[in-house]
Amino acid sequence: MKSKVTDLLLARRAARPLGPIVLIAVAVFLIGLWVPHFATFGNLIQILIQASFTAVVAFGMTLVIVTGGIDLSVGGVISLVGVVEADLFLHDIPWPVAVLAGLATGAASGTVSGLVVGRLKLPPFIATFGTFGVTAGLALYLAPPISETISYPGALASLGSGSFVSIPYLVFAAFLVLVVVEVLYGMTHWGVWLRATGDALPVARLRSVPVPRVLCLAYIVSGLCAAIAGTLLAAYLTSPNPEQGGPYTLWAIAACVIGGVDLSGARGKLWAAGLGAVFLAAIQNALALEEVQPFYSDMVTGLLIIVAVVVATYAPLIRKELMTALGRIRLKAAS
Amino acid sequence: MTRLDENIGMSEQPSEAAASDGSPKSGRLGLLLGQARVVPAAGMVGLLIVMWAIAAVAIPRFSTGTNLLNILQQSSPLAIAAIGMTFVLLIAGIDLSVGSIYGLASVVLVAVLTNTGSVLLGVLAAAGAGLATGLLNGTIIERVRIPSFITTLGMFYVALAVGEMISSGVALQMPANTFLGTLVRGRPFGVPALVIVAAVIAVAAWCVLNRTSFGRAVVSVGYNREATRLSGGRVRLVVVGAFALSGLAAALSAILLTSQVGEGDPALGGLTATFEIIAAAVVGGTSLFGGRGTILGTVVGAVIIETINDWITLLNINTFLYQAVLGLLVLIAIIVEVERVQLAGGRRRPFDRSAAFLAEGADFVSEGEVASGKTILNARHIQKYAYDDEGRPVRGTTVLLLVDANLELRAGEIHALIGENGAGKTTLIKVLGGAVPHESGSLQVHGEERRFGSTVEARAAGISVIWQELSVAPRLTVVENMFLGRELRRGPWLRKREMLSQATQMLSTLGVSVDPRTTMARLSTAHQQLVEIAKAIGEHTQILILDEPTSSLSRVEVERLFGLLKQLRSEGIGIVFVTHRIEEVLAVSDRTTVLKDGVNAGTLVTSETTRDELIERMVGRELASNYPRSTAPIGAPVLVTSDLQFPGSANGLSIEVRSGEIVGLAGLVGAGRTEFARVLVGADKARTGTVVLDGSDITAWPIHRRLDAAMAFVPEDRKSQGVILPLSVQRNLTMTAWHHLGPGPLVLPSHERRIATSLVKLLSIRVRNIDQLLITLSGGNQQRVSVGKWLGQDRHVYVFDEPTRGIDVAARYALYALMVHIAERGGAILMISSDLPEVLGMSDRIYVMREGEISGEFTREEATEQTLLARMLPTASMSDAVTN
Repeated sequence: MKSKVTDLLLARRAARPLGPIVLIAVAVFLIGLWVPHFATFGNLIQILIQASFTAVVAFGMTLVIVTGGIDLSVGGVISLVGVVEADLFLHDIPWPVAVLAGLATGAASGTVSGLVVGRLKLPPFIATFGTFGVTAGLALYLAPPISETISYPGALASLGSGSFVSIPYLVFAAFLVLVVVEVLYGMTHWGVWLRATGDALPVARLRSVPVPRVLCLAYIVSGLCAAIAGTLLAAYLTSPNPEQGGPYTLWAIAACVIGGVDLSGARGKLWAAGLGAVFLAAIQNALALEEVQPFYSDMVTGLLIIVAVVVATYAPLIRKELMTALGRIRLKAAS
Repeated sequence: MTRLDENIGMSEQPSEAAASDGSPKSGRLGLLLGQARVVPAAGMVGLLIVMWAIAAVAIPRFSTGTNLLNILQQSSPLAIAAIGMTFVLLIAGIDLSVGSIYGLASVVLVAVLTNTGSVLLGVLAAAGAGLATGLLNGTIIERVRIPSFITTLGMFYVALAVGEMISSGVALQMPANTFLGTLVRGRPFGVPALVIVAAVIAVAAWCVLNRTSFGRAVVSVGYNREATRLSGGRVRLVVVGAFALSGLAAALSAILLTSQVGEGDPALGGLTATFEIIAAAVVGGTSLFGGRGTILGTVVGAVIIETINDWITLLNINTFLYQAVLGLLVLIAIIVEVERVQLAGGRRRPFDRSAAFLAEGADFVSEGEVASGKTILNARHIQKYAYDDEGRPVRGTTVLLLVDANLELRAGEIHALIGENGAGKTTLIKVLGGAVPHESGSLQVHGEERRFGSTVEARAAGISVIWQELSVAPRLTVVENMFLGRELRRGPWLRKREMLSQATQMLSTLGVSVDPRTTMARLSTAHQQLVEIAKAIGEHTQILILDEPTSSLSRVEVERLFGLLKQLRSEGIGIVFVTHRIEEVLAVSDRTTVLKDGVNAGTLVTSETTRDELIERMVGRELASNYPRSTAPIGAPVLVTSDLQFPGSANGLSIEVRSGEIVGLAGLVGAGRTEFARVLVGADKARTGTVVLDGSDITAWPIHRRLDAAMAFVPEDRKSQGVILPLSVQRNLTMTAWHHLGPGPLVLPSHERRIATSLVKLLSIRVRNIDQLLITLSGGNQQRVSVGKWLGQDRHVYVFDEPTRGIDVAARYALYALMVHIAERGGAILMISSDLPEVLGMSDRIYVMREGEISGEFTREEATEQTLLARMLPTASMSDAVTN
């Protein structure tokens, strides 16, 4: 029996997906034991809902991180898109048009970020910090006055609150986004080019990979994902909050990092980022149930990122030590 | 150890004797703009004056005394925090936590003040909180090696949370009538007290930055961390110190703001404040890439930002637009800075780094019959000037890398290209491969005249180059690498199965047994190289150029490679092979072209020539017996290693170097000599074994202690490790002596100048003035600086790694004379060199390293090129398994 386990751990291919899955299973299990009301069906659904928003953003963020960059503007885009759509609803614009406008906003923001990073060659965190400033500022500027009440169109409201076989539409929406982005990332040449750009930029150039276009694509997808998340969030909250996107930047980065996306580029699985979002939502949910102050939650998120990066950096070394040790045990067992 | 020479060709050439005063014409403009620190500050002041002038006319109520003083007062806290941020930006970091340090310091101040009644304690506690956060930031960044923007972003939330904890989430009321309250409302002589405080801090900061060794180190680390470290700078301390200053400054700023408002608010500042602070520094001319920035500029930047804030208020513009405007300002400032640096011919550190080529040509030697295929490649009278990052000639340079180069390649031929260091082999390969264009001459491929603007064009013409620094994407798989840029697809969908089968087929045709689904990084260099060749063949290459392919291969791998090349030859492919190894040239090539000083020194049929003749043509001079010799007696051992093991060593290394002695360390590239040298000076850690210096065990000593005490290190890669190109000659020469340039930690410019001037004279460095930036110097002069900075004090051990590589003859001999001078003063020298005549001519004793261990030791009398070579070459029993 021992040899089966060690075999499993030693088989490098198998070991990789295990990480996030094990982490989440263990965490949920432990928390479920510790915190009352955590492991109820209703609460778990709540976690999934919360995770959905973060996950959608994280999918786009993964693509950007894989190119060796980062997108700090997603929070601003989420806010801005919610505001844009609310403004349009106020003027009785039909919801499909409003949603399209929202998506276009996200894409536009992504295009700006992508051009600045790709053509002007500015460091991503500077470029997207700037885009964040612009989008967050615009969101506050364009926000409808609080006095106006906005009635969210029926279709959107039910998207935000409805469910199918007890699973909320929001979760399905997140899955849909995952599938679409994964198709782009895993089945088209764009995915290879994204990873090549993050792995060895000069080599990608040499092989005539259109790097500026690839970078643009990554940020546009990230902007679109943020726009979708913003739409979903607004549909869920049904009250326009021009700062709704605030924490999502950090949460999306945390989800990616926890899910094993390598901040130095070229490595990352979308579904793992999704699981990272679930893990994060679970932790935050547990803290809320325990009536911990909200700022603790933020602190924990910050710490989680640091811990995750540290673990990711040192894990290969630890794994090497572990494997040599296991190998020795195996030899001993065999002899 | 490979050389990463980003600007190869700029000054590697013997013919640079033409650059008579050591500085090409472009230097003048570059010198002016490059004296970077003064100009942006002056520009900023000008901008501010212009802004105020326009506003005075356009906006009513702007130019009232009250309003202007108000702006200055509002700018003060921002300026203070931005000054702290400047230090962090200077070391090429960023501090995103300052916004929440504001809140933390704010509540700490009020909490302590309320509980103890003492203003002093409150201020100390608040400042301490900021300082502690900064120290924590710096420590995590340095010890755990997490990028600064992640660490400080995480710390932003942590500090925010701690602040909220202390105040339980509410704003704390500050007691009235405290000293602080009076202070911030005071106006001695009509000038707001806040402005005076800010001015005092600014002056203090200026002194720290410009008149202390810490300040010198900050700039140096920002420009080039590794070079600073290898010169004995205490990099860790500097980084932690910079972040500590940033935290402290943010706290001080918060103290002043809190006193103004009268309540301690945990939400004071926030991300907006962080952004404002960074914007103030950046708009003031501080570079986000490190090294460049001034205190004055930052202060002016803060005033500019507050001026804009003032306009928005006066004009009743929606304040939410402010953030957007800030974002735009920052972007503009960065773009301007990036363009300005480009213009000055300086080096910017862009997000991407293209062209990390390097190469030493390897000479191709063929065996057997002369290929009688038709000419497929004909390069004649190729000329190329020293070039910049874009491949274009450096402005105003007269240095010719290729003077009159010719190469004729036939189908079904293996053609070797040999030549000394700096003969032009690399440059010629780059021209043929499309990496850089030639200025004049004719290049015909299959009879058609071509001039390639990119490697893509060359590949389309059927020419593939396998660079020494393999151009692979290590984290992608073999298949992905092989099809990168030309993936097989149906519409947008990848045809993965087909690519996999094609890859498998190509690899097996070449006899390579590798699973195409493995990640490239998992393969050994030899296998990666074979994959590269398979890739080239897959693209229907007809001309295959290999740039020193055997330098990191074992004997068996070399044999396999040669077998493959012969197979390709029989299929009609023309192969050019650059190498240093004459034996390989003789073993495998059909014809050999010798390049010397950018000119053809002959194209010979390999079977009709001899090793001696080839060497003769390469060198064109007799193996000189005119190396200077030291007359000093050799004393006791100064540096002794016992059984030293490190990553890359095979067995423990035990050597000794005596005072007055020059010990040569010979070996092939990849033998581990540079790794050994780095362990000796402490740049890398040893695994086991000891290093003893003058009788003391220094094995546990960190690098800065060893270099400070008694050792000197001249690294192999001078451009990125030996000198700091954007700094001046004076600063470079005094880099190792920061603590001796004035009393205590102070630096007196007069001392600095004196030391630098005397060193320039001692070394005959050709410069017009010592404030010239190092990047304007020729390679030979740069190397003199790289060596010279160690000569201010007598040291005991000097470790030189390839000191004369890529340097013209005159500079070379000057360096030899210098080494003898050092030896005669009792210094002990360990000289790593790949130039065998140099090793034989200069050394009193010679160690030979091979594959990570010492394979031989010879005295001067015993050694010959043959005996050394015999010990250098790998033996046949090396394995070539896939490495992990």
